[in-house]
Amino acid sequence: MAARALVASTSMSGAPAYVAAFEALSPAVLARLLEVRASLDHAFARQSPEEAHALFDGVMVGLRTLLVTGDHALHRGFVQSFIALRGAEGLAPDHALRVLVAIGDVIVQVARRDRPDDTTLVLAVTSAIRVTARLVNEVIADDLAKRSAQRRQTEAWR
Amino acid sequence: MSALSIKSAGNTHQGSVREHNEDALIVDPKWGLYAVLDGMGGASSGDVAANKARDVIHEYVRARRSAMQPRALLEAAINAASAAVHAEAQRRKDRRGMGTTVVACLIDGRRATVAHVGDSRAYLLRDRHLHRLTADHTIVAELVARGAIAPEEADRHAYKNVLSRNLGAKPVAAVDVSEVELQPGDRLMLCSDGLYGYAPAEAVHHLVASTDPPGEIVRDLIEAALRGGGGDNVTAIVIEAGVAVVPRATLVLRTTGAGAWWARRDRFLAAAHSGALHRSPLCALLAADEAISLVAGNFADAVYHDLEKATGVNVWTYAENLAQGWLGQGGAWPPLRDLLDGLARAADQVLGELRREDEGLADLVALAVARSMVTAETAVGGVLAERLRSIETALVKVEAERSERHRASSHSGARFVDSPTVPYMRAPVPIDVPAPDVAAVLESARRRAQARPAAGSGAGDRALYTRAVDHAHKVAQASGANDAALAARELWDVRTLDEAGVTPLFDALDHARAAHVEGVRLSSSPPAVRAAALRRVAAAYQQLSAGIASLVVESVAPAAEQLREVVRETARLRAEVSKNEAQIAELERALATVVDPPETVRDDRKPSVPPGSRRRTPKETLR
Repeated sequence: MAARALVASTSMSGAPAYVAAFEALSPAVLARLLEVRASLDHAFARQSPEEAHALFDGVMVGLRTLLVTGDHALHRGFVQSFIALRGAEGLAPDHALRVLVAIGDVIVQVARRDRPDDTTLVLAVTSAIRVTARLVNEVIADDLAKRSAQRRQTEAWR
Repeated sequence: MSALSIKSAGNTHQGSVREHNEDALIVDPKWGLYAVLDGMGGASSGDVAANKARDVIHEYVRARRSAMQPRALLEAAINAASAAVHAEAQRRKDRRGMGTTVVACLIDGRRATVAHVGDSRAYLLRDRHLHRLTADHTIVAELVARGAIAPEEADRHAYKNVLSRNLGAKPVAAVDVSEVELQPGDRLMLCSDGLYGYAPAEAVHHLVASTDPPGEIVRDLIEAALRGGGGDNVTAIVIEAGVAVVPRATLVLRTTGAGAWWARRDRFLAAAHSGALHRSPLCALLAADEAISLVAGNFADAVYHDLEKATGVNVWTYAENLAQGWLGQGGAWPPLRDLLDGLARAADQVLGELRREDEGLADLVALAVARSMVTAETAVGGVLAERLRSIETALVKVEAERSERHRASSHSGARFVDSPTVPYMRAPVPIDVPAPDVAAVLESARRRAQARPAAGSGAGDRALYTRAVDHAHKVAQASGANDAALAARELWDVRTLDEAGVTPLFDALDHARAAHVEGVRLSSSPPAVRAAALRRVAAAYQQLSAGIASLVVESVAPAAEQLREVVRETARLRAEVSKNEAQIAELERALATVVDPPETVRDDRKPSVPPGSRRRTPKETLR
């Protein structure tokens, strides 16, 4: 498995404290995600642990980057590629959204189990998932607007 | 911390002596506002002052309940009332000197904020003890507070009823404010001096501490004052704090934050209103109050029920209905997104206020509300994606129909698909009519060309040649691109050259051009006229060739698409063959290992293959 190439946020000045907590929690979250991956989506049950790990790790990196930077435009890039990759596997965008929300739920679940007093981390993760869900909807809405325009054009031609 | 259920009752009586009742009261459980006012001033001005102050306080609190903290709100409301009474007293001579006392209580969740001016009082009953919450603003009370007289002298003092502060004497009153954290079982009593001045203190204590409901207590208190002489107007309000109003177990509500959210529902609606949620395009057909009640109210209720039951189904249903209703009528995403943001902002405002009171509880509710917003986004995402799928399906259907039309026409034997093409879409070009002498040269050239025999021998070739000369002549005379395109289409339509493709058509054009040019050269006109005619003939043939070429490209387009499909299918099959070959090679390697295991010890004396035999190759083995 490839090691993450990103700089640890703990070495960055100004990163919120919950980012370090998020990173510390990541191995436990990944382990839990692998355990319950079939319940997140039946397509994950067919994946090897390595493939599933790479997928979940990508989501964790995306969320961590959002927590560190707070950059929604950057996160939209992650969301778009996630939707595109899931689309290539036959998953609809709303299905991809539900998978992301389910992953967020698992992170919150592990955070409550391992760091019961850290409300800030749970709040931060929930907010990050909310932003992610909004961005997924933005992507779907953009696509919907384009397709609607295309349909109007086609109707006009007919 | 969960909210308490509040029961309250209040009443007033003019007493046994007074001709007018100059007391007033407010009992408004909806806004948590309670007040007793005792007016004063001659010629019936006392009731004017009390009623004026009552109305101002009530309206002030209702208008700013969501925008201000209770303590500041109550103080500001009382000062506004003082200013209003003072202004009224200044306006009319017969009302000079009028004023009123006030004791007011504002309940927000578990917190009761008590403010007073004058000698109307507030009491708290807790654990069967009656505590006085207010200090009278009288001259005597201040003398006692300063130690100038003993407390026991106060009741006998000549100025015992003379107020040191009241509403209306000045535009701004000095208001005393205190706060009490209510507990279940607590009772608050607000009253005018007509109660405590005439009803025995023991009787008041006994009645307030009784198990009777607030309404009966108020009735009994007033009767006690009347029995004690009833020398003044009597007013009393009793407020009882009961157990939590929410229907689930307190522990669960505390854990989920449902109670705290429910207690702030009105605050949330007010925040949504001030955030102009009712101006959303989704609420275009609704009145402001109706919009807030429907959109924000239903959201608040859904969040509450989800918190209470630890599910997300109510918010999901709410958001899904909202999105389906809006997108179903052709609404765009941005207004829906803005509405969700407006709800989130209103919730943030309420949570900010809660955070100032109880940070831990605020975190709990904030988490629950954030989770509700995630649920709402997920539900809306489902509706958006469903609409996307529906439109994509419709587009695919349209595309399939178009492909089917192309396929049908290409198999029906029709030689030409009559669909709009580029030449038809060109802007018209102005017609350049040739000069008469040039036209005469063109006409003579056409006749010469027509008289010349065609190169081919068939009747079809001759017809093509003749038509090519005629169409070139027309184009040369008009010099318009549109004419050339039309002429090219006519030539294309009459060709009868299935086996030979388009070659005979271009051959005919070539021969016609040569004959046409020769016809111009043979003319006896001046060189300049012949040159002009030649330019026109050459341009005409060029335009005809270009028009026919574009028709050729158009006609082969469906075939080109089929060809591309064939190429794609070939590539796919090649990939499959490669994959299968790789699998065969893998099997062969495996088989070779089984048939011929690696030798660990080389023994030259014993060949691994028996003499005279030949080891089978893996392919032979497979066969």
